[in-house]
Amino acid sequence: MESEELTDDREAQTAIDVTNATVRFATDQGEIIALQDLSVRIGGGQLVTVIGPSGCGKSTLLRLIADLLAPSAGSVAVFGAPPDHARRDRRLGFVFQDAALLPWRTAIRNVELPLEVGSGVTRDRPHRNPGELLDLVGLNGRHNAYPQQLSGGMRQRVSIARALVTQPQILLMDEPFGALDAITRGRLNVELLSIWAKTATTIVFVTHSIDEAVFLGQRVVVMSANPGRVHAEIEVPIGYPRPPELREDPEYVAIAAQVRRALETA
Amino acid sequence: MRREAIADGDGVPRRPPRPPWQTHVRTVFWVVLGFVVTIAVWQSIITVRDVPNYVVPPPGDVWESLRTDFDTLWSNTKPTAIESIGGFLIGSLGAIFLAIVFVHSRILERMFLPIVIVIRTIPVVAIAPVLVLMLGNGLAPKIVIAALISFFPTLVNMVEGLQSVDSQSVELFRVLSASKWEVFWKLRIYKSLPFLFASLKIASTASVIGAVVAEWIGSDEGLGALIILATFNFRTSLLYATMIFASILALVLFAAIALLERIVVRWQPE
Repeated sequence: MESEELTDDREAQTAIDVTNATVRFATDQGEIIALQDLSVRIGGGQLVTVIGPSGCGKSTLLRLIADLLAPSAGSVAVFGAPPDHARRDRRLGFVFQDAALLPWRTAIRNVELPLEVGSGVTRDRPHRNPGELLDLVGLNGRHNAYPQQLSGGMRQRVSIARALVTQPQILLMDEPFGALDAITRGRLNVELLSIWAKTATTIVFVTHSIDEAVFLGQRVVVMSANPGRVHAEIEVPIGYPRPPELREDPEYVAIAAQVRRALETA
Repeated sequence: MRREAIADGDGVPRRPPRPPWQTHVRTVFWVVLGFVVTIAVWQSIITVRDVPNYVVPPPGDVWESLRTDFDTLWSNTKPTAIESIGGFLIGSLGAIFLAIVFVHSRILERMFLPIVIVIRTIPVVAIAPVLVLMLGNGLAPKIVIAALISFFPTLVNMVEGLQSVDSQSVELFRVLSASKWEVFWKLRIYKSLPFLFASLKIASTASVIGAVVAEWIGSDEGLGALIILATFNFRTSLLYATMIFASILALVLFAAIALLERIVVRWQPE
């Protein structure tokens, strides 16, 4: 009951609000416009996927929200405030493309990292039990394994647990399953949905895969490159839980086709 | 049972691993064989070409010297060991400290790294007499030279190691709002350890070279002094025995660092 209340509460507010954001990089070859005049709004508790060709600025968008980058023009608001507030308050979790685990720490010690750093204030904040989180992502019995003893899929599970340990309200995922084989990827997609259902987190999920984008998202943001812009936003009006067989459903197939067409014209 | 062990999780077929003891026995066997062949070749060249004993002593004479001159060799190993270990510790710790300073201050790095590189290009043999003049005939100049020779590889590697952080790790620590201090202690230090140990292994053997070379310039004890003494007295067997002791000293230092590395760096660096 309590979690349902929480969800409703968050749905009402806008979690992420990017307005007319432009990001320019200075390089040796001159200026590159990674994002131009991009606006996107994501409600609390939503799961939105972002897809687009290489170099369309998908990762740049995530880095804007995570306060890893500042926009050259326009604004980014997370829960109505500049994103550094959310970052300092530990309301943001980030899952990187290649897990980015520290190889000298065991799985459990990697998950504990966010509780050890950040001006010493972290320990007093509400957080989740690292061991329970590792069990939640399916690493029972492997808590003391080093990253190089784990498969790619397991490493990415550990990094998801690490991102969740501070109980973030927003989870930013940068092609987290891109390097995994199709079977592992499909399984992790199903598990991510169940984690989302249990934690009521707002998730922004960047991917290269049309299938992943449609299977996970309530909404698919299709971006176009040079310069990076929102090309289309496609709603996925299919309820959860979504079983793997959903992929054979005509409605699903139709939406996937729609995303594909949008990408082709992007 | 056996088949299961062959293919692992990735489905990549592998050769079934031998039990560890068997691998060790094999390794030792080949090493011993290498020594035996080398000594045999050494002896046969002397016999065939009729090389005089004061030019190249036969292995048997060297063995004899190792036994009869053991007390001399051992008492001269001690000062050299103190000089090389002392110099190694001072040089390495100094290099680690300076590397940390350089990583935190680009300005200091730009100002002083060129000077460090210039000093590095001066050969030890050229610096040694200067230091003996400055510091006298005792242990001090030898320790300084051993320290200098250990210093440079460690400085260069440690700076590289501390800077070897990948962009994703940096982003991770930023998302976690980590302080510079935390990035240093929880990320950079660990990233630098494999680099550090690689250079400490080089420095440990180099410090023995430094101590021995320093003893040549002016000393009445130590393996370097013994080398000079044996050479001028045509005691070639003793000269060879001294070289073996110097080499064993360097190997012991190397092994100590390698052991320490295995204890400290328990993960596999990427």
